[in-house]
Amino acid sequence: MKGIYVHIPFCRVICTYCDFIKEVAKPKRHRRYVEALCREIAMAADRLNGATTLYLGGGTPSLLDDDDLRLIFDAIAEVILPASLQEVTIEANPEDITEAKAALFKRLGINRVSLGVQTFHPDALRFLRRTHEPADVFQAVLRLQTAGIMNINLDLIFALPNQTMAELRHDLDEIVRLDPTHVSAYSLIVEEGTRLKTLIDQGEVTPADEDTEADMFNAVIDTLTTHGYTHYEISNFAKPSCESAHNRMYWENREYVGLGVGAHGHEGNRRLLNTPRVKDYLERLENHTSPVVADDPDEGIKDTLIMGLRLREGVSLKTMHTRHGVDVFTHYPALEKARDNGLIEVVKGNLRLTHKGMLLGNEVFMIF
Amino acid sequence: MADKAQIDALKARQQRIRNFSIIAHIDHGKSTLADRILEHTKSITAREMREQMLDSMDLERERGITIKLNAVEINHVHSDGNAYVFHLIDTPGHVDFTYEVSRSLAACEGALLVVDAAQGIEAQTLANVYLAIDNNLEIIPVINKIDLPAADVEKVRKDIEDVIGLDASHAVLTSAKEGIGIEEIINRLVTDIPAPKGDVDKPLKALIFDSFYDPYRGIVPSIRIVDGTVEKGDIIKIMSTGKTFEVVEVGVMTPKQTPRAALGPGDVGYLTASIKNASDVRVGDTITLKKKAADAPLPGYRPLSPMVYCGLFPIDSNDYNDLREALERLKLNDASLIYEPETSQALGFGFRTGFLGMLHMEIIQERIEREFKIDLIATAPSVVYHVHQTDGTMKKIDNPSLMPETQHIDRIEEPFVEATLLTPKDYVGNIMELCQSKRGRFQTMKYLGDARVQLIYHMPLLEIVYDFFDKLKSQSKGYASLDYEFHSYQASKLVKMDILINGHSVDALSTIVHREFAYRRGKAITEKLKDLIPRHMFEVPVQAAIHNKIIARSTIRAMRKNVLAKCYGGDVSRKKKLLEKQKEGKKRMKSVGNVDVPQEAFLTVLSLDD
Repeated sequence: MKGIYVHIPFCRVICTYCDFIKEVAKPKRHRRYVEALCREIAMAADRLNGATTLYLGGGTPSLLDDDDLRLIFDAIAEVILPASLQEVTIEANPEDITEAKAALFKRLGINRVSLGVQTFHPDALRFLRRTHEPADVFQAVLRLQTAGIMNINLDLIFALPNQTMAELRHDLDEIVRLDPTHVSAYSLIVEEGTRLKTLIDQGEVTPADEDTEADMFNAVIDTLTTHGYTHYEISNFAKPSCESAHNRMYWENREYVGLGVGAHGHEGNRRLLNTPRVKDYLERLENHTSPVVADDPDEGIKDTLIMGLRLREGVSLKTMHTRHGVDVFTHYPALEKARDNGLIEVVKGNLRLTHKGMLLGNEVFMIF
Repeated sequence: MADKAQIDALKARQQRIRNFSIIAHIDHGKSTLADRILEHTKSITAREMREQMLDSMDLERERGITIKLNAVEINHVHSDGNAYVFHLIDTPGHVDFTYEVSRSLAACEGALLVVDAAQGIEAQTLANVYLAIDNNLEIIPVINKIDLPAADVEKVRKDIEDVIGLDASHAVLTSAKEGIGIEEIINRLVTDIPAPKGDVDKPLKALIFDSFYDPYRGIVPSIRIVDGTVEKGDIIKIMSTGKTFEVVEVGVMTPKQTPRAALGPGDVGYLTASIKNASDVRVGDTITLKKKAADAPLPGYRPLSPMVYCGLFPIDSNDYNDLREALERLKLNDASLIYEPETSQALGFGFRTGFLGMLHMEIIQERIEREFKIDLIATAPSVVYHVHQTDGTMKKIDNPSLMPETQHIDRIEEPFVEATLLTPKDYVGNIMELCQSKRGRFQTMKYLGDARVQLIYHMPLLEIVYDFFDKLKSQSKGYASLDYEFHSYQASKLVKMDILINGHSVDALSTIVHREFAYRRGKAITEKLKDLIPRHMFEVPVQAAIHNKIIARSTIRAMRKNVLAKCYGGDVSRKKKLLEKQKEGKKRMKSVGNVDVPQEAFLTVLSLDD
């Protein structure tokens, strides 16, 4: 089991809250990037062997034109058997999903689409600088399903500045009405270097307070679990057997290969990082040079716990013993206090966060 | 011992030495004036010129005030053809530093009294001028900032004559900023200030008026020679201890250290003698020679007793010894700083430290954090209470947590000061109201000229220690000034107020309050702590109590959400860094009975808007 992550750094507009590696560029640059990416794929052929999932993230991968997408999938088909990929996901903006695009996705073997919905409130969408209207989401879901792509994730952001509980409830109602197989729900994070951060520092925007965030998070959990979703990771909800196999690899601290600008990989016991600058990435690959700029050992025990506890089922104590040779409670005595505080519990041999712990995960992660 | 030719040279030199200091209120232009004098006499080249040359501590330049005194030698060729030597000894202008002022004045024969042409005389200037008059100094009045549109030279001249009683008809009119009047000041230094007395043939008597630490040369005392001479190779003796040292170098500050063959009467300079211990060269001591010793030391100084105490605790308990060393080092040229070990249940091991006033306290804390890189927690300042117990004994209490049990207390007396306030007459109403609200007792009111008023109040020092100074400034648009000196101990209705966090009384947060203010203050403190202490896994009550009776309460609600929303393969390392940062933040807090309390919380009482 192994995952492949491919980063597409292009966007039409930069969102208010986004701190990923991205740029607004012309189609000509898209093509130059795709060609570099194809070269990296070819160079990484050996490392991609054994992959079972593929994830195209961004940026906005759906922004690429049909030929660009075909080039990428062709390059991948050159090095691994497409049939070995059980889950192939692409991130998309709702307004990009035309009937033709949906059909192309299907033809390329994409079987899961993650739509950046964020909210159904037009004003909030504009504040976030999203470029779609609420109606686009319904269109997109319908077109994907018509094309035969049934596994659909909707991204939702809550605890937006000035958002009311009634507004969140409306967002949740719409999600439930659309009935996707998967929902990722994030409370808005204020990242350094974003426009959102500047607005807050200048006092133009007031972030939601902790109580509002907690109330909203609870509302999200209650609504989605009532409607048949399993809360299987801190921010992720899925219908039965629709959990994201690719993302699970991250949380289970497994191997994945990162391709494209700024992509991270976890191979062997090393964490790899590609150059975060598009220009540098292009030049390196055009010179047949590796784009990897950092190659550090991972922190096995710590990583397995921090990532693994995000999952509802948590981490198997037995696996911790066989994989890392540690008894977790002896290795981290402070865990006892977290257990006393009701943040963690041991259920059927697994150490996991309680419901309370899901909202207060950092208090546990800080122990490691 | 200096030879004959050298002695003659020193004698001739003595006649042309002028030692002076500058007395001025903060912002009246003292440091700028000093800069101009240095420039005009070409004592420093333009390349060396930094704004406010004398203020060498970073902290001084940032705050625009002078803390440590500095002595500079200036060479000047006068119109009479002779070369004169000036020693400018800088003085601090803040009320907390009167002691430093008296030190520098004792090393001088004259002083420039600088008064702002627009603002007139301020309370602090008054206090320092009287000190100078007591020291028999020749005072040259200087009216500065005459270029300002609001300047009123005649009014200020009259002020100086009416309020201080000095003849101001020959006052020098200057604008240090514009360089006006500098030459006249220099001429007057030559003609008005007497040459130092003192006899080159007598045994050495040198006054230590400051000292600093040099990592390569040990403790370096700043000295003023009164009688005799000193040079390299001499064996000197410290008169109070009898300890002897061999002189390695003598010299003057120009303003950098510049070695000289010998120092004679009237000279102001330094000497190095591989002195290792700060306690060996106390400021105010007299240095003489081992072979030919003086029979009696110079009068020295009377150190002021500290008025304000607070606990200083290292955040990291491993820094305790470093903190002790830092205090020792600072005490080297600050005899008014006193400290002794203190143990707090909440904060661990630290030092109870005494200061002359609030600014002194802030400066010391900042210097420890900056120069010695020790993170500190300071507890709220306290004054010294006289607690008369029912058994007839009296205890001096400078730490609220050590207050005896109520049933043993007969009465508590607190220090009152006589506060002198100068203000434009428009603000008299505001200021009187402020003084009343701070338990001040009105004494007298006097008009100085027709626009300014002098108010005298007797006030509890405790109230001044809190926010009186800031309030005074805001009530008078910054125009009122304050000077105070200890008056007497008086009985007051005082009570000890404890603060309980999560049910645990936190000794470091206990304060003494006046009974009538207790409820309001308790409420303000608990509210403020509620905002300062971060949320925890559980609800944390914050209570104020007077002998076991809860008088105010606030509640810090339990933490409800603290989790990274997004964590995928892309950013494991970055997310881990965020977690590390949260962890670090926690480490910087003090854990008090299961609750992490940030540094600022221990000073809340100071910044209440009650």
